[in-house]
Amino acid sequence: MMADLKWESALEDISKASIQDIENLCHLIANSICHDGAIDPGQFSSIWSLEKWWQIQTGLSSVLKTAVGKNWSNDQISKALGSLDDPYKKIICDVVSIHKEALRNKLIQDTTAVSHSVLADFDWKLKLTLASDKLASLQEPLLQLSMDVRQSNGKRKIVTVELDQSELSKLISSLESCSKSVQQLTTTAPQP
Amino acid sequence: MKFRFCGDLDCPDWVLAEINILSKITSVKIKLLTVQVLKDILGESLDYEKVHKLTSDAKFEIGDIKASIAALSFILTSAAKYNVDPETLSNELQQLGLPKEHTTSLCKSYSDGQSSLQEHFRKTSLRVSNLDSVQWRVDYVLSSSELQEVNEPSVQLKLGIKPGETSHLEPVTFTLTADKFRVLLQELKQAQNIMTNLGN
Repeated sequence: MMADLKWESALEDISKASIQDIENLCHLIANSICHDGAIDPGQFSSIWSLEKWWQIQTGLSSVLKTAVGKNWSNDQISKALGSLDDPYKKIICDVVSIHKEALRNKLIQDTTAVSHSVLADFDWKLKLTLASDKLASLQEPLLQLSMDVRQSNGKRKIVTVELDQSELSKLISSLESCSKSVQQLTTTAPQP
Repeated sequence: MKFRFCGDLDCPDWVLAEINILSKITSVKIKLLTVQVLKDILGESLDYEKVHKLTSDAKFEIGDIKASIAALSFILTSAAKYNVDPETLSNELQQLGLPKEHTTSLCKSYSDGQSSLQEHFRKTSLRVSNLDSVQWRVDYVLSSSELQEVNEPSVQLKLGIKPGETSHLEPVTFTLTADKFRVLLQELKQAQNIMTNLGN
Protein backbone atom coordinates (compact mmCIF):
# COMPACT_ATOMS: atom_id res chain seq x y z
CA MET A 1 0.00 0.00 0.00
CA MET A 2 2.83 2.37 0.84
CA ALA A 3 4.25 1.94 -2.60
CA ASP A 4 0.89 2.63 -4.16
CA LEU A 5 1.22 5.75 -6.28
CA LYS A 6 -2.44 6.60 -6.04
CA TRP A 7 -2.22 6.47 -2.28
CA GLU A 8 0.91 8.66 -2.35
CA SER A 9 -0.98 11.30 -4.27
CA ALA A 10 -3.99 10.86 -1.98
CA LEU A 11 -1.69 11.59 0.96
CA GLU A 12 -0.97 14.99 -0.54
CA ASP A 13 -4.68 15.59 -0.89
CA ILE A 14 -5.25 14.79 2.75
CA SER A 15 -3.16 17.83 3.64
CA LYS A 16 -5.61 19.98 1.67
CA ALA A 17 -8.20 19.45 4.38
CA SER A 18 -7.94 20.98 7.82
CA ILE A 19 -6.82 18.82 10.71
CA GLN A 20 -10.32 19.16 12.14
CA ASP A 21 -11.85 17.81 8.94
CA ILE A 22 -9.47 14.86 8.85
CA GLU A 23 -10.22 14.07 12.46
CA ASN A 24 -13.95 14.11 11.74
CA LEU A 25 -13.47 12.00 8.66
CA CYS A 26 -11.37 9.41 10.47
CA HIS A 27 -13.98 9.06 13.20
CA LEU A 28 -16.67 8.70 10.57
CA ILE A 29 -14.66 6.05 8.77
CA ALA A 30 -14.00 4.12 11.98
CA ASN A 31 -17.71 4.17 12.77
CA SER A 32 -18.66 3.13 9.29
CA ILE A 33 -16.27 0.18 9.48
CA CYS A 34 -17.71 -0.94 12.81
CA HIS A 35 -21.33 -0.58 11.82
CA ASP A 36 -21.16 -1.45 8.14
CA GLY A 37 -22.45 1.99 7.31
CA ALA A 38 -21.69 4.36 4.48
CA ILE A 39 -20.50 7.96 4.70
CA ASP A 40 -22.18 10.69 2.75
CA PRO A 41 -19.43 12.05 0.49
CA GLY A 42 -21.41 15.26 0.08
CA GLN A 43 -20.09 16.79 3.26
CA PHE A 44 -16.54 16.67 1.90
CA SER A 45 -17.35 17.69 -1.67
CA SER A 46 -16.05 21.22 -1.07
CA ILE A 47 -12.61 19.80 -0.27
CA TRP A 48 -12.15 16.90 -2.70
CA SER A 49 -13.57 15.65 -5.96
CA LEU A 50 -15.59 12.44 -5.70
CA GLU A 51 -12.76 10.39 -7.12
CA LYS A 52 -10.25 11.78 -4.65
CA TRP A 53 -12.73 11.25 -1.88
CA TRP A 54 -12.95 7.55 -2.71
CA GLN A 55 -9.18 7.19 -2.76
CA ILE A 56 -8.81 8.92 0.57
CA GLN A 57 -11.67 7.08 2.15
CA THR A 58 -10.49 3.62 1.05
CA GLY A 59 -6.92 4.49 1.93
CA LEU A 60 -7.73 5.72 5.41
CA SER A 61 -10.08 2.88 6.16
CA SER A 62 -7.45 0.38 5.14
CA VAL A 63 -4.90 2.13 7.37
CA LEU A 64 -7.29 2.00 10.32
CA LYS A 65 -8.09 -1.66 9.76
CA THR A 66 -4.50 -2.75 9.20
CA ALA A 67 -3.25 -0.73 12.17
CA VAL A 68 -5.63 -2.56 14.48
CA GLY A 69 -5.40 -5.88 12.64
CA LYS A 70 -1.63 -5.99 12.85
CA ASN A 71 -1.58 -4.23 16.22
CA TRP A 72 0.72 -1.47 14.92
CA SER A 73 2.44 0.93 17.25
CA ASN A 74 2.13 4.67 16.56
CA ASP A 75 5.57 4.58 14.91
CA GLN A 76 4.43 1.87 12.53
CA ILE A 77 1.29 3.85 11.68
CA SER A 78 3.35 6.98 11.04
CA LYS A 79 5.65 4.97 8.81
CA ALA A 80 2.72 3.67 6.79
CA LEU A 81 1.46 7.21 6.35
CA GLY A 82 4.74 8.12 4.67
CA SER A 83 5.13 11.73 3.76
CA LEU A 84 2.02 12.99 5.54
CA ASP A 85 2.58 15.94 7.90
CA ASP A 86 3.10 15.01 11.53
CA PRO A 87 -0.02 16.72 13.00
CA TYR A 88 -2.17 14.67 10.58
CA LYS A 89 -0.30 11.50 11.50
CA LYS A 90 -0.91 12.19 15.15
CA ILE A 91 -4.64 12.67 14.57
CA ILE A 92 -4.85 9.35 12.74
CA CYS A 93 -2.90 7.58 15.49
CA ASP A 94 -5.29 9.08 18.06
CA VAL A 95 -8.32 7.92 16.11
CA VAL A 96 -6.85 4.42 15.92
CA SER A 97 -6.30 4.27 19.66
CA ILE A 98 -9.77 5.64 20.42
CA HIS A 99 -11.54 3.15 18.18
CA LYS A 100 -9.14 0.29 18.79
CA GLU A 101 -11.49 -1.86 20.78
CA ALA A 102 -14.51 -1.37 18.52
CA LEU A 103 -12.40 -2.00 15.42
CA ARG A 104 -10.92 -5.11 16.97
CA ASN A 105 -14.41 -6.39 17.76
CA LYS A 106 -15.40 -5.76 14.18
CA LEU A 107 -12.34 -7.64 12.94
CA ILE A 108 -13.18 -10.53 15.25
CA GLN A 109 -16.64 -10.56 13.73
CA ASP A 110 -15.10 -10.52 10.26
CA THR A 111 -12.84 -13.37 11.32
CA THR A 112 -15.83 -15.34 12.51
CA ALA A 113 -17.49 -14.59 9.21
CA VAL A 114 -14.69 -16.51 7.50
CA SER A 115 -17.01 -19.49 7.61
CA HIS A 116 -19.64 -21.29 5.58
CA SER A 117 -22.30 -19.38 7.46
CA VAL A 118 -22.44 -17.10 10.42
CA LEU A 119 -25.14 -16.04 12.84
CA ALA A 120 -25.75 -12.36 12.20
CA ASP A 121 -28.67 -11.81 14.50
CA PHE A 122 -31.38 -13.60 16.38
CA ASP A 123 -34.73 -12.75 17.88
CA TRP A 124 -37.15 -14.64 20.00
CA LYS A 125 -40.68 -14.45 21.18
CA LEU A 126 -42.45 -16.41 23.82
CA LYS A 127 -45.97 -17.52 23.11
CA LEU A 128 -48.60 -19.23 25.18
CA THR A 129 -50.49 -21.70 23.07
CA LEU A 130 -54.11 -21.57 24.12
CA ALA A 131 -55.86 -24.10 21.96
CA SER A 132 -55.48 -26.24 18.88
CA ASP A 133 -57.70 -28.29 16.62
CA LYS A 134 -56.86 -31.28 18.78
CA LEU A 135 -57.30 -29.84 22.23
CA ALA A 136 -59.58 -26.99 23.29
CA SER A 137 -57.34 -25.88 26.12
CA LEU A 138 -53.58 -26.28 25.74
CA GLN A 139 -51.94 -23.57 27.89
CA GLU A 140 -48.50 -24.51 26.69
CA PRO A 141 -45.66 -22.01 26.33
CA LEU A 142 -43.69 -22.10 23.10
CA LEU A 143 -40.56 -20.17 22.28
CA GLN A 144 -40.07 -19.09 18.73
CA LEU A 145 -36.44 -18.51 17.93
CA SER A 146 -35.59 -16.83 14.69
CA MET A 147 -32.00 -16.81 13.50
CA ASP A 148 -30.60 -14.62 10.77
CA VAL A 149 -27.85 -16.69 9.20
CA ARG A 150 -25.54 -15.16 6.62
CA GLN A 151 -24.37 -17.77 4.19
CA SER A 152 -21.02 -17.78 2.45
CA ASN A 153 -22.66 -16.68 -0.80
CA GLY A 154 -23.73 -13.52 1.01
CA LYS A 155 -27.36 -14.49 1.12
CA ARG A 156 -29.46 -14.17 4.23
CA LYS A 157 -31.34 -17.15 5.49
CA ILE A 158 -33.86 -16.79 8.26
CA VAL A 159 -34.21 -19.98 10.21
CA THR A 160 -37.01 -20.28 12.72
CA VAL A 161 -37.63 -23.00 15.20
CA GLU A 162 -40.33 -23.52 17.78
CA LEU A 163 -39.19 -24.84 21.12
CA ASP A 164 -41.33 -26.23 23.87
CA GLN A 165 -40.17 -26.31 27.45
CA SER A 166 -38.29 -29.58 27.20
CA GLU A 167 -36.61 -28.67 23.92
CA LEU A 168 -35.54 -25.33 25.30
CA SER A 169 -34.02 -26.83 28.42
CA LYS A 170 -32.26 -29.40 26.26
CA LEU A 171 -30.83 -26.62 24.11
CA ILE A 172 -29.80 -24.54 27.11
CA SER A 173 -28.11 -27.40 28.93
CA SER A 174 -26.20 -28.24 25.77
CA LEU A 175 -25.15 -24.63 25.31
CA GLU A 176 -24.22 -24.38 29.00
CA SER A 177 -21.51 -26.98 28.63
CA CYS A 178 -20.36 -25.17 25.51
CA SER A 179 -20.31 -21.93 27.48
CA LYS A 180 -17.98 -23.50 30.03
CA SER A 181 -15.38 -24.20 27.37
CA VAL A 182 -15.81 -20.70 25.99
CA GLN A 183 -15.26 -19.19 29.42
CA GLN A 184 -12.18 -21.29 29.99
CA LEU A 185 -10.78 -20.07 26.72
CA THR A 186 -11.51 -16.41 27.43
CA THR A 187 -9.85 -16.50 30.84
CA THR A 188 -6.86 -18.65 29.96
CA ALA A 189 -5.47 -19.05 26.51
CA PRO A 190 -4.65 -22.65 25.67
CA GLN A 191 -1.03 -23.67 25.47
CA PRO A 192 -0.36 -25.42 22.20
CA MET B 1 -79.61 -28.91 22.22
CA LYS B 2 -76.06 -28.09 23.08
CA PHE B 3 -73.66 -30.67 24.38
CA ARG B 4 -70.47 -30.07 26.30
CA PHE B 5 -68.74 -33.01 24.66
CA CYS B 6 -69.44 -31.38 21.30
CA GLY B 7 -67.84 -28.14 22.45
CA ASP B 8 -71.18 -26.59 23.47
CA LEU B 9 -72.60 -27.17 20.01
CA ASP B 10 -75.31 -29.35 18.58
CA CYS B 11 -74.49 -33.02 18.26
CA PRO B 12 -73.88 -33.81 14.56
CA ASP B 13 -76.77 -35.66 12.99
CA TRP B 14 -74.66 -38.57 11.82
CA VAL B 15 -73.51 -39.23 15.40
CA LEU B 16 -77.13 -39.22 16.53
CA ALA B 17 -77.93 -41.83 13.91
CA GLU B 18 -74.96 -44.02 14.87
CA ILE B 19 -75.84 -43.92 18.56
CA ASN B 20 -78.87 -45.91 17.56
CA ILE B 21 -76.62 -48.53 15.98
CA LEU B 22 -74.34 -48.60 19.02
CA SER B 23 -77.29 -49.46 21.26
CA LYS B 24 -77.72 -52.69 19.33
CA ILE B 25 -74.59 -54.33 20.73
CA THR B 26 -74.23 -55.34 24.37
CA SER B 27 -72.64 -53.00 26.90
CA VAL B 28 -69.75 -55.44 27.45
CA LYS B 29 -68.98 -55.38 23.74
CA ILE B 30 -69.21 -51.60 23.78
CA LYS B 31 -66.52 -51.52 26.42
CA LEU B 32 -64.23 -53.77 24.40
CA LEU B 33 -64.95 -51.83 21.24
CA THR B 34 -64.18 -48.57 23.02
CA VAL B 35 -60.81 -49.95 24.12
CA GLN B 36 -60.02 -50.79 20.49
CA VAL B 37 -61.03 -47.36 19.25
CA LEU B 38 -58.99 -45.67 21.99
CA LYS B 39 -55.97 -47.64 20.81
CA ASP B 40 -56.62 -46.47 17.28
CA ILE B 41 -56.80 -42.80 18.29
CA LEU B 42 -53.60 -43.13 20.30
CA GLY B 43 -51.80 -44.28 17.19
CA GLU B 44 -51.68 -48.02 17.80
CA SER B 45 -53.35 -49.99 15.10
CA LEU B 46 -56.90 -51.17 15.32
CA ASP B 47 -57.40 -54.93 15.43
CA TYR B 48 -60.06 -55.23 12.74
CA GLU B 49 -60.52 -58.95 13.23
CA LYS B 50 -61.28 -58.45 16.88
CA VAL B 51 -63.69 -55.63 16.09
CA HIS B 52 -65.40 -57.84 13.58
CA LYS B 53 -65.82 -60.59 16.18
CA LEU B 54 -67.12 -58.13 18.77
CA THR B 55 -69.84 -56.95 16.47
CA SER B 56 -70.68 -60.29 14.86
CA ASP B 57 -73.49 -61.31 17.20
CA ALA B 58 -75.26 -58.01 16.59
CA LYS B 59 -75.16 -58.99 12.89
CA PHE B 60 -73.40 -55.77 11.94
CA GLU B 61 -72.60 -55.18 8.32
CA ILE B 62 -69.33 -53.64 7.24
CA GLY B 63 -71.01 -50.26 6.96
CA ASP B 64 -72.36 -50.52 10.50
CA ILE B 65 -68.96 -51.48 11.88
CA LYS B 66 -67.36 -48.52 10.18
CA ALA B 67 -70.08 -46.22 11.41
CA SER B 68 -69.87 -47.38 15.01
CA ILE B 69 -66.09 -46.98 15.02
CA ALA B 70 -66.48 -43.48 13.58
CA ALA B 71 -69.09 -42.52 16.15
CA LEU B 72 -67.02 -43.85 19.05
CA SER B 73 -63.96 -42.04 17.71
CA PHE B 74 -65.89 -38.80 17.51
CA ILE B 75 -67.33 -39.13 21.00
CA LEU B 76 -64.01 -39.99 22.64
CA THR B 77 -61.94 -37.45 20.69
CA SER B 78 -64.37 -34.63 21.15
CA ALA B 79 -64.92 -35.31 24.84
CA ALA B 80 -61.17 -35.36 25.48
CA LYS B 81 -60.71 -32.24 23.36
CA TYR B 82 -63.20 -30.25 25.44
CA ASN B 83 -62.03 -31.84 28.69
CA VAL B 84 -65.43 -33.24 29.57
CA ASP B 85 -65.51 -35.34 32.71
CA PRO B 86 -66.81 -38.95 32.35
CA GLU B 87 -69.93 -38.26 34.37
CA THR B 88 -71.05 -35.40 32.16
CA LEU B 89 -70.29 -37.45 29.08
CA SER B 90 -72.39 -40.28 30.44
CA ASN B 91 -75.31 -37.93 31.10
CA GLU B 92 -75.14 -36.35 27.71
CA LEU B 93 -74.93 -39.67 25.89
CA GLN B 94 -78.00 -40.84 27.78
CA GLN B 95 -79.81 -37.71 26.68
CA LEU B 96 -78.91 -38.68 23.14
CA GLY B 97 -80.55 -42.06 23.65
CA LEU B 98 -77.70 -44.43 24.42
CA PRO B 99 -78.81 -46.91 27.12
CA LYS B 100 -77.41 -46.37 30.61
CA GLU B 101 -75.34 -49.62 30.74
CA HIS B 102 -73.77 -48.64 27.42
CA THR B 103 -72.84 -45.16 28.57
CA THR B 104 -71.45 -46.52 31.83
CA SER B 105 -69.09 -48.93 30.13
CA LEU B 106 -68.15 -46.40 27.44
CA CYS B 107 -67.41 -43.77 30.06
CA LYS B 108 -65.44 -46.20 32.18
CA SER B 109 -63.05 -46.74 29.28
CA TYR B 110 -63.09 -43.02 28.57
CA SER B 111 -62.15 -42.13 32.13
CA ASP B 112 -59.27 -44.64 31.94
CA GLY B 113 -58.06 -43.18 28.67
CA GLN B 114 -58.88 -39.48 29.11
CA SER B 115 -55.50 -38.31 30.33
CA SER B 116 -53.52 -40.33 27.79
CA LEU B 117 -55.83 -39.07 25.03
CA GLN B 118 -55.26 -35.48 26.09
CA GLU B 119 -51.54 -36.03 26.42
CA HIS B 120 -51.54 -37.49 22.91
CA PHE B 121 -53.49 -34.52 21.52
CA ARG B 122 -51.14 -32.14 23.30
CA LYS B 123 -48.17 -33.82 21.67
CA THR B 124 -49.71 -34.00 18.23
CA SER B 125 -51.04 -30.45 18.25
CA LEU B 126 -49.74 -28.44 15.36
CA ARG B 127 -46.09 -27.56 15.65
CA VAL B 128 -44.45 -25.62 12.88
CA SER B 129 -41.07 -27.05 13.75
CA ASN B 130 -39.23 -28.97 16.43
CA LEU B 131 -35.69 -28.92 17.63
CA ASP B 132 -34.32 -32.40 17.31
CA SER B 133 -30.63 -32.18 18.07
CA VAL B 134 -27.92 -29.76 19.11
CA GLN B 135 -24.27 -30.14 18.32
CA TRP B 136 -21.57 -27.65 19.14
CA ARG B 137 -17.85 -27.15 18.88
CA VAL B 138 -15.65 -24.48 20.39
CA ASP B 139 -12.67 -23.28 18.37
CA TYR B 140 -9.88 -21.08 19.55
CA VAL B 141 -8.98 -18.76 16.71
CA LEU B 142 -5.34 -17.82 16.70
CA SER B 143 -4.94 -15.61 13.66
CA SER B 144 -6.75 -14.56 10.52
CA SER B 145 -6.28 -12.52 7.40
CA GLU B 146 -8.34 -9.81 9.08
CA LEU B 147 -6.65 -9.80 12.43
CA GLN B 148 -3.11 -10.96 13.09
CA GLU B 149 -3.64 -11.93 16.70
CA VAL B 150 -7.18 -13.02 17.34
CA ASN B 151 -6.89 -15.32 20.36
CA GLU B 152 -10.62 -15.53 20.80
CA PRO B 153 -12.90 -18.53 21.01
CA SER B 154 -15.59 -18.98 18.41
CA VAL B 155 -18.53 -21.33 18.56
CA GLN B 156 -19.89 -23.61 15.87
CA LEU B 157 -23.47 -24.64 16.33
CA LYS B 158 -25.45 -27.22 14.46
CA LEU B 159 -29.14 -27.40 15.13
CA GLY B 160 -31.19 -30.26 13.77
CA ILE B 161 -34.56 -28.72 13.03
CA LYS B 162 -37.51 -30.88 12.17
CA PRO B 163 -40.09 -28.99 10.17
CA GLY B 164 -43.61 -30.03 11.08
CA GLU B 165 -44.38 -33.70 11.47
CA THR B 166 -42.07 -34.85 8.74
CA SER B 167 -39.28 -37.18 9.66
CA HIS B 168 -36.51 -35.48 7.72
CA LEU B 169 -34.10 -33.19 9.53
CA GLU B 170 -33.03 -29.80 8.34
CA PRO B 171 -29.61 -29.17 9.77
CA VAL B 172 -28.59 -25.54 10.28
CA THR B 173 -24.96 -24.85 10.92
CA PHE B 174 -23.40 -21.53 11.75
CA THR B 175 -20.50 -19.89 13.51
CA LEU B 176 -20.83 -17.20 16.12
CA THR B 177 -18.46 -15.10 18.15
CA ALA B 178 -18.03 -15.81 21.83
CA ASP B 179 -19.78 -12.54 22.63
CA LYS B 180 -22.80 -13.32 20.53
CA PHE B 181 -22.89 -16.80 21.97
CA ARG B 182 -23.03 -15.38 25.49
CA VAL B 183 -25.89 -13.08 24.51
CA LEU B 184 -27.76 -15.96 22.86
CA LEU B 185 -27.43 -18.18 25.89
CA GLN B 186 -28.35 -15.34 28.23
CA GLU B 187 -31.49 -14.51 26.31
CA LEU B 188 -32.55 -18.13 26.01
CA LYS B 189 -32.25 -18.40 29.78
CA GLN B 190 -34.36 -15.28 30.15
CA ALA B 191 -37.03 -16.86 27.98
CA GLN B 192 -36.80 -20.07 30.00
CA ASN B 193 -37.34 -18.13 33.21
CA ILE B 194 -40.49 -16.56 31.88
CA MET B 195 -41.62 -19.97 30.69
CA THR B 196 -41.17 -21.62 34.08
CA ASN B 197 -42.83 -18.71 35.85
CA LEU B 198 -45.84 -19.19 33.60
CA GLY B 199 -46.37 -22.66 34.97
CA ASN B 200 -46.61 -21.39 38.55
